[in-house]
Amino acid sequence: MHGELEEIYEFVRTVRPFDELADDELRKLSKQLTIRYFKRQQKILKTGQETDSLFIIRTGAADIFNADGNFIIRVNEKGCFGFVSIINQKPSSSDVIAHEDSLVYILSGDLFRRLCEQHSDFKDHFVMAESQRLRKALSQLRNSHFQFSARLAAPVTGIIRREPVMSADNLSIHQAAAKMATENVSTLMIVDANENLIGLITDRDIRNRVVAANININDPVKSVMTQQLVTISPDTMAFEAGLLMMRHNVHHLPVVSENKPIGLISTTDLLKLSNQSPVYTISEVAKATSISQLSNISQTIPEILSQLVNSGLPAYQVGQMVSTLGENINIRLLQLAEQKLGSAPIDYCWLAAGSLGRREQLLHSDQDNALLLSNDFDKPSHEEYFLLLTRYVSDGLNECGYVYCPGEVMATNPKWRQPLNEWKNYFTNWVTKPEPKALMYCSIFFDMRSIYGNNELFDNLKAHYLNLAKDNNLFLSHLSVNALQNTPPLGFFRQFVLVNDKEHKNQLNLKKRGTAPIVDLARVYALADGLNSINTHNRILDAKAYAVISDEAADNLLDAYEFINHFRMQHQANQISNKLEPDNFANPDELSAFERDHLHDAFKIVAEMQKYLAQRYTASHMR
Amino acid sequence: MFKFFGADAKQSRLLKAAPEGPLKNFLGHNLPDKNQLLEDANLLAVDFETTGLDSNNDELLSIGFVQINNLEIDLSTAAHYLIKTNNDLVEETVVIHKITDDQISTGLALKDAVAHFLQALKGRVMVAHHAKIESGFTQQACRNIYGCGIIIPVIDTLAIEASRLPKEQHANNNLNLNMCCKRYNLPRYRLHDALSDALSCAELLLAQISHCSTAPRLNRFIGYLP
Repeated sequence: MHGELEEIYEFVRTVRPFDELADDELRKLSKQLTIRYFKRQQKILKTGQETDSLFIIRTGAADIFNADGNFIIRVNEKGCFGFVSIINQKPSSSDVIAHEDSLVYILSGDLFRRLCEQHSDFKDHFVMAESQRLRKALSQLRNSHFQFSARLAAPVTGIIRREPVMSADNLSIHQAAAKMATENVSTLMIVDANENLIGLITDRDIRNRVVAANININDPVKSVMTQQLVTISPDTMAFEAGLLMMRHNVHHLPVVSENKPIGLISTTDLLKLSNQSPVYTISEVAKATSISQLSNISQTIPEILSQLVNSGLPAYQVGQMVSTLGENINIRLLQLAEQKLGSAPIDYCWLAAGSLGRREQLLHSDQDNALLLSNDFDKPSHEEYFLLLTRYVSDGLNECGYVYCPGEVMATNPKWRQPLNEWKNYFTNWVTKPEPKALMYCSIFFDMRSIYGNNELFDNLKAHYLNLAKDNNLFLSHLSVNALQNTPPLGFFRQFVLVNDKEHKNQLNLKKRGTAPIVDLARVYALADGLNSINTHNRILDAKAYAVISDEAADNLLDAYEFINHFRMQHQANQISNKLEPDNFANPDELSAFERDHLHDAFKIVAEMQKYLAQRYTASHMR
Repeated sequence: MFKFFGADAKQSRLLKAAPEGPLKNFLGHNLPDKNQLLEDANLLAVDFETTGLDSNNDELLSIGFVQINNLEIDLSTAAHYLIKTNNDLVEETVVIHKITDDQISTGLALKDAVAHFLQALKGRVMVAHHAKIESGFTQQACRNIYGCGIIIPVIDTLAIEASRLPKEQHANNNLNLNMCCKRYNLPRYRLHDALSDALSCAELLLAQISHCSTAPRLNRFIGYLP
């Protein structure tokens, strides 16, 4: 009886890309390895040394240096090196030195070549470009999530409970209500002679629009039904339906195919898919009558984030859903403030800046907000009202966990509570005199969005600054320099010393070094071409559509953003389920081989795009 | 005259006494050159599972081994043999080695397993952790099967570790295989069958050697058992 080497097999199957191989192949392969031990500082390979082996680190770590002695990368447990020599059939082009005492498994070049020939997935891992590998990883990630929780990501057709209950548009209100009673439904779909959906009527409509308004029940149902409908197609995914319900604050969505009803889904149907639905929470927010109620609701957001992440939604969608919650808390606070203080004396709109502005808020972040007033603003008579209003909202947000902005970028600060013309002056100054402080403001105020009040005020302001920034090379080059300040932590893979403050030493800052560089890039792309979008995902899509960057670059950057963002959210979701305070700092040991590999790929793509931006805008600035 | 007491002399005497067969073949190989560098030596890391520690009364249950050549463990040479015993297994020891009667019944006869083992060990230095067990049981098996004893060149990783570690740290199981592997940042295997332990022992030796200040020669560690 010969050796089983079970433990070798169990280790090798966790090493990428060996995890692509079938079990019997892995078992065979485990018996063909050799094992060596290298003491710390011992040279494993020398530049110019003939080698035809793949080295896999079982325990310990090794550092790779190029021929000039410059440090290239650290390979950790489960990492491989030596394949470049095998593939190119050349001597080692680098020095490899054991960083710690290391036990290393060695696979012969012959076996490596045979595996490459027989398994394209295995080979791809070693020869594909980062962008290709990342795309593949993302699709694997999606597939695995679909297996875990397909419910929210499945088409809505699966949750339609019954045939559509419809009635012709020539029915009276009375007849329609009778039909609702016999069918025992709270919502009736109204169709025209060709069975096209033209309206909806609900229990609540009959109460509010008919009984309360004293309308004759023999009037046609058509006269009281809701005509402006938000509808979805059968292939809409459940989470998208939820997002739509949240955005439009509706509780029913007709599912139609070529305008013919096929069913109706309600918030209740979606609620059944997850026990803490954001859709439900939004309706709770809208009903809240005090700051303390909002604060209680707000405490459920981490749990919701955790669920959304685990449901397999794309990361950018999770960000949008969680932002919608934050946005609705802002809106409710403004409504409560107006109830308390009376209606505003002049038009205004409440602006969300930063991550909420971009609809990328994760957990409670600092509040960044501003107030845009109509030019009718008369300081002596209006100042007091808006000071009280903004204080009420800002204090409320602080109690809900959106703490005061340390940089005072809040509507309570008179500087950021100004009439339209003054705001226009601000932007003109920032764009035409791009000084360091001005550029710092750009990253906040160029990501603004009106979430309450008279949106036209903001549309006017936005048109003003988009026009100023577009094709303004001086401004864009300054903005680019600024956008290149946070670099992706490729050094993370070299050495783990990343964050220098004591508490987070040796950790990877997933926001500052992870997503922020991409957010900054996307902002430059959008402003360069006067694009209207604010959300980073949308900005990159628009940059692609308007050919600001190539299709390939855009797709790669989207993948990188999705992977890093997904990892960051997963990290926070894990902290939430472990009852820890969620943060943006990942420990190196937290990374699986898969994550380490693909984060590296993603960071390389970002670095590449930064390099490209540097060439494009900063060169002109340097001259 | 000196040779009369030496390992070489003992080997020649045993060679004369041994019957034709695996033991004689084994003894027919010269003992390794003690002055050669360890990195040039051919070694066989070995572990036995037994029903107890007394080679006179307890039985051999399984043998695991793997070659080390030029300080490289060659997994293609890894082997693991279960052995049919004469007596039913005692429950207490089953808990330790996790080998059950069912498995044993599929095993080899002791004489076949020992023949395979001697064939593999031929011309090599045996590496074991607390090598007295392996050498003692081999000696006992050879006496029973061939009516003749054996002499085995041995490197004992436990003895090496004992010489490296200050005396006061020898207590508390600090010298057992698992603790030794831990100190050298070696993988600790979940399974403790003869093959996994033979592999751990091989890895431990590589680690111990790499921590020697100069490349050691065989004579620094070698002994002859039993």
